[in-house]
Amino acid sequence: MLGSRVILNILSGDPTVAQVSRDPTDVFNDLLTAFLVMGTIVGVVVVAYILHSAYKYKIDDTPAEGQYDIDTSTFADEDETESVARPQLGEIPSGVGKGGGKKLFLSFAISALIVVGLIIFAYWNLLYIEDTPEDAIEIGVDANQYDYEYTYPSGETTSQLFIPADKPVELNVTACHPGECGTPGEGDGEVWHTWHSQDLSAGADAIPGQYTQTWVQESDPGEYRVQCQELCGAGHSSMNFDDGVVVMEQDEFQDWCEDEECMDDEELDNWLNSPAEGDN
Amino acid sequence: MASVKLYTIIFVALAAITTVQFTLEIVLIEEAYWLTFGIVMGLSTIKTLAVAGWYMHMLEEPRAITYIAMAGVLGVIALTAGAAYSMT
Amino acid sequence: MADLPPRSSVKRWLVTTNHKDIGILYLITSIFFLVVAGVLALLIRLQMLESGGTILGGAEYNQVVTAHGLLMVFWFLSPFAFAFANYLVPLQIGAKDLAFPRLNAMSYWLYLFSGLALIASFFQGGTHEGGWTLYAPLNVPAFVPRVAEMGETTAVIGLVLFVTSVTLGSVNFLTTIYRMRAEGLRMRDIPLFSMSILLTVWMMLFAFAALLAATILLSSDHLLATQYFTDEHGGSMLWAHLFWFFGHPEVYIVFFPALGAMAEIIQTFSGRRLVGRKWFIIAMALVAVQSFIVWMHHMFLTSINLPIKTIFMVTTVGISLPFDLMVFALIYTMIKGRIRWKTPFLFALGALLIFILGGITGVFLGAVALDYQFRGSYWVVAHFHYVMASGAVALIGGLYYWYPKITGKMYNEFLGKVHFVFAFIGFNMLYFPMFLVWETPRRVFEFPEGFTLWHQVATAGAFLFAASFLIMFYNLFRSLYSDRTVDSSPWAYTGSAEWAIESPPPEGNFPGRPSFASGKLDFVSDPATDGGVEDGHAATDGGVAHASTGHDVHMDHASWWPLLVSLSGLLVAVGIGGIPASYVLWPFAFALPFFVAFLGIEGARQDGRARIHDLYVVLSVPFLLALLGGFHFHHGLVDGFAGANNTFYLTLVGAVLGAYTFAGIGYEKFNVPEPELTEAWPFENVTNTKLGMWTFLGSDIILFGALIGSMIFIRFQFGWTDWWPAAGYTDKAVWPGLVNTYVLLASSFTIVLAYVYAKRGSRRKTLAFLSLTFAGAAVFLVNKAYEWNELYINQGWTHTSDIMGSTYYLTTGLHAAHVIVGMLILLFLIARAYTGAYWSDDEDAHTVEYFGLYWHFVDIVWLFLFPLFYIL
Repeated sequence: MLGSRVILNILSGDPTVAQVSRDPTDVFNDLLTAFLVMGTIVGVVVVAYILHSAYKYKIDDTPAEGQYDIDTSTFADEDETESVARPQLGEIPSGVGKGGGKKLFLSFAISALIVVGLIIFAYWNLLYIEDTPEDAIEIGVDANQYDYEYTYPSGETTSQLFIPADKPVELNVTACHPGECGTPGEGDGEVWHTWHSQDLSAGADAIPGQYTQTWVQESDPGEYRVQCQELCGAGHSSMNFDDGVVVMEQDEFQDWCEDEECMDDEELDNWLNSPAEGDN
Repeated sequence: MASVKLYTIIFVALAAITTVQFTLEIVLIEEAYWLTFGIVMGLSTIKTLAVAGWYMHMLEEPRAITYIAMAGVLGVIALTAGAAYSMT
Repeated sequence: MADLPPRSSVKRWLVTTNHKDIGILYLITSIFFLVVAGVLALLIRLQMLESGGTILGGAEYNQVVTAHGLLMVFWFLSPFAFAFANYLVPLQIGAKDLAFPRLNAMSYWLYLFSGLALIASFFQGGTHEGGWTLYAPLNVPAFVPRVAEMGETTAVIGLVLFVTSVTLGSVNFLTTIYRMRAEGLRMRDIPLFSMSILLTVWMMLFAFAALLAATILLSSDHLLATQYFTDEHGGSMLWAHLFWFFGHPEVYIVFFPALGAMAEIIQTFSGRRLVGRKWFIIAMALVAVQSFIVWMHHMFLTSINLPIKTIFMVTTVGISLPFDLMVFALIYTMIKGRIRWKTPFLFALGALLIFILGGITGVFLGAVALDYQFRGSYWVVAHFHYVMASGAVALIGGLYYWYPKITGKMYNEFLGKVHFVFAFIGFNMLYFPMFLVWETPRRVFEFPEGFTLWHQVATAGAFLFAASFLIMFYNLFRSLYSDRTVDSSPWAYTGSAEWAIESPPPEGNFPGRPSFASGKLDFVSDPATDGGVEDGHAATDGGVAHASTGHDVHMDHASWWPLLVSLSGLLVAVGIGGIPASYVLWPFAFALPFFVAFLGIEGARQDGRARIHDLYVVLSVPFLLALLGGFHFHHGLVDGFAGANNTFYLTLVGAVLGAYTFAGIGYEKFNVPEPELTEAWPFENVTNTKLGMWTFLGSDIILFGALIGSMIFIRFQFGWTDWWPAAGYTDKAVWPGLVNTYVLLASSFTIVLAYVYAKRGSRRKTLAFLSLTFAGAAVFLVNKAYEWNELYINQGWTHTSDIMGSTYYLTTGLHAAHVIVGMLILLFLIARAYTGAYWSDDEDAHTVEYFGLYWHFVDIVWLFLFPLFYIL
């Protein structure tokens, strides 16, 4: 929870990425940390300032005799001298609201700078994520009611995503391929799903007749949860798999893949043994 | 307030433009589809402006009325163009 | 009917058109829907006490989630805001009522009945279960459980009724705010709450038209089996674009009134004028405009391309900036304030704090790469509840703030504070944990073990939050019977006009004519027969004060028709979902001759019997017989009617009732005087009805534009020039369409001539040209019938054959429906012209002009429809 990897990273003090490029989880963690830190600072400062002001300028609100609110005439003297505009019943208020203008623009400018800065940082990271590593192989993901089917380069299909550690894999996600989405009303076809792995920080909508892409890379072998995050029917709540992604050591994966014939042996060999993409 | 004569002239012009449009469509569409598309839509726009400007009296109404209609048109263009482009 | 029965009678509430009464109706009804949707929310939280909760099955849970969202967004939040808008906007701008009081009542009844239709859908096999966002293709018949098909359709049609209510409301408020302001009150001077309502209704006008397009296409997929949202060339994406183009402005539509209320409450209880008011208004206006260019940030994980994602990331960040400014303006207003921590202030302050948290977390969502994880997760749920429910919290502050004005009594301040404490704690207990367990997917009740504790905290918070409302209901109800009466302004430092009159305000609102001509609010007593413009008016921003026309202005306040028209809508909504496609259009067809007959009968009653009325009644008979003949041809007369199910007859009754009520409301003599001595910039010299018609057309432009755009969108992906070759017809009959272009242009010509001759006072020529226009429309329909017969029957190219067929028949069909509506109105105009209505004191030739505006619009649509759907 709360991007638990952030906490794990900090605590373990060791880089999550074994060899080279930042994987999507690193990107997400960096971004989330930056936004959380700035967002919390801004939030705390603004909220504190609001509460402080609301308290500092609170006056004794004992209502005047027989009334429900204060008697404004008790401030008559102050009103003459001060520079703050007070609402008058039936006034035309345009243009006034004396003072506070400079402060307003200063605060606005600062907040704008913070927001724009964060977004520029986010955009830079977006470009990184959108630039799928060249040495990624492509695996097709077909979402349906209510599980996923993964198609390897050889055409082999599985119901779990098996990937080797430290190697990028691109997922080409859909709910049904263009031309194969069936005829409405005849019980076939598919609805909109998503494929999401929070642990691997990857997700994409699975839309009938459309393709979307995302990529994953994970260094710790193990099983990772996959879940559907778009309401897709009565079984949507159960459309989650704790072992949806299985990350294996590279040699283990090689054995598995050769057994299952998940891709051409030579390609597999090249892929696993090639140098990883350079650091970003 | 415009006269019957003006309205008649506008009508004749509208009918004439329609005839030109249709002739062009038949003649040109096979060879130069996109050119025809552009001309036809352009002529339809001109007819629309005439109907709106004179028959709906938009020319005589305050400019704000035109802005209401334009806001609608801009919204449609933003939606259609944005959506179509996003899928390329 | 002119005068209102007393408040204690039931009849009063059924027939009132007074804005204050309607405001109270909206208030009570919206709270009713809040309770229903709130109970659904508690069900959701109960289900989520543990992962894999078993209170509800999967499909039931989905229905609960969907209905909770629909009811809250549509049937609670905006109507709650519009309760205040109805009550206060006329008071704040110095008007006696809204511009179109009967339409205002109709907005309310359509709202109530549309909500009842949605609730009814639960009992018709099940309501929609795909989320309030109604994504395709989960929303099409192929994916709706067979048993729930009827309920599904009812829910969608209920939404259509709701959109109608909103569109009427936006036309009404726009016309009122622009044209009925008190003398001396320029647009920039109107109070902030009214300003926020103005911007809200601008957004509503255009955004809801897009939703209407989407729901019309969806209804068509349900009722007629068209293929819009199942088409593999982007059917799902089509829904997403249409829905979110509406959906994003919608969330600001929901929030803006709350923002306006917050501004007023913070101003009053800080005792300081809003800091940077001018910039606040500009910021709000910017957000309103920008809200239409951020919609794809709801679609970052779809197949849209990277450049467009970047553009929408930028526009999304852009829209957050004006909000920053508005938040700071509210904060700085408190500096050097004389703050009293009364209940309204506490709620407004609480709402501000909540909104800030919601807004900050929204920026996270705008960072695309973060959104890749957050999409469809509880981060989104937490974010939007923080922002949307902060709007509700602010409006609750508004309820406390304006309660004394509306009821004339003061609520119990201690209980108000207790409510606030429980509400604020409950709110944060409910929603903050959602950020902590954000990895839970939305609309899901299975989650990892480790999240259970926080979900349970959230559930506890939900019950606390819900319970806090009970304190408010008790407080506000009991206070009605207390002896804490209030005068015009129980609060110190109020500024706007509603606080200068009695609590509650009298029926006519003001003791005299409100005027700001002197620089502040006065109530002027004009002599009843003042003929000229008063001297010494200060120069305004170009507005022209109209001279009073000099006769006694009597306003009508009550009418049965809004309720009855809306009732016919309810009957149709609840029935139509059960009718098979081959029967579905017949109830409406049969209603047509009834409408003609009713025009004759009502016309005779209201205008005095004339030959034209007899003619209508007589002609309705062969008309009905012809339709019966068509029905016989289609289904066989006896078999057809015997085989029709109950819902067919229910819809038939609804349609015929609709015919009767439309005739009735058209003929009803309901006097609403044109505003006099008001500010009307920038619509001086544009009558209320004309402005209403133009704003309505603005929304109709979006409707047809979206429908045509839908075809363009799909065709673009299909391959633009591959479209017609792939369609299933053998030979496209183009000449009927061409003839129709000339015919419609000619009918635009004849209707404008009808107006000219009406103005010149020539009854014969007016009748002649109105009839020619009708004839032109009839020729159009005959041509269309020929063309469709050729394509549909002879060549077998139907609306279900392929996507080209779906788009062709639906779009040209809807246009034809607009032509038919035009013809019905023309019949009405002809009858009225025949009896001399347009040359009388009550009404004039302009009615013909207003209809002409609609008719020319129908013509203009065809000018684009013909090339795009026939030739190119």
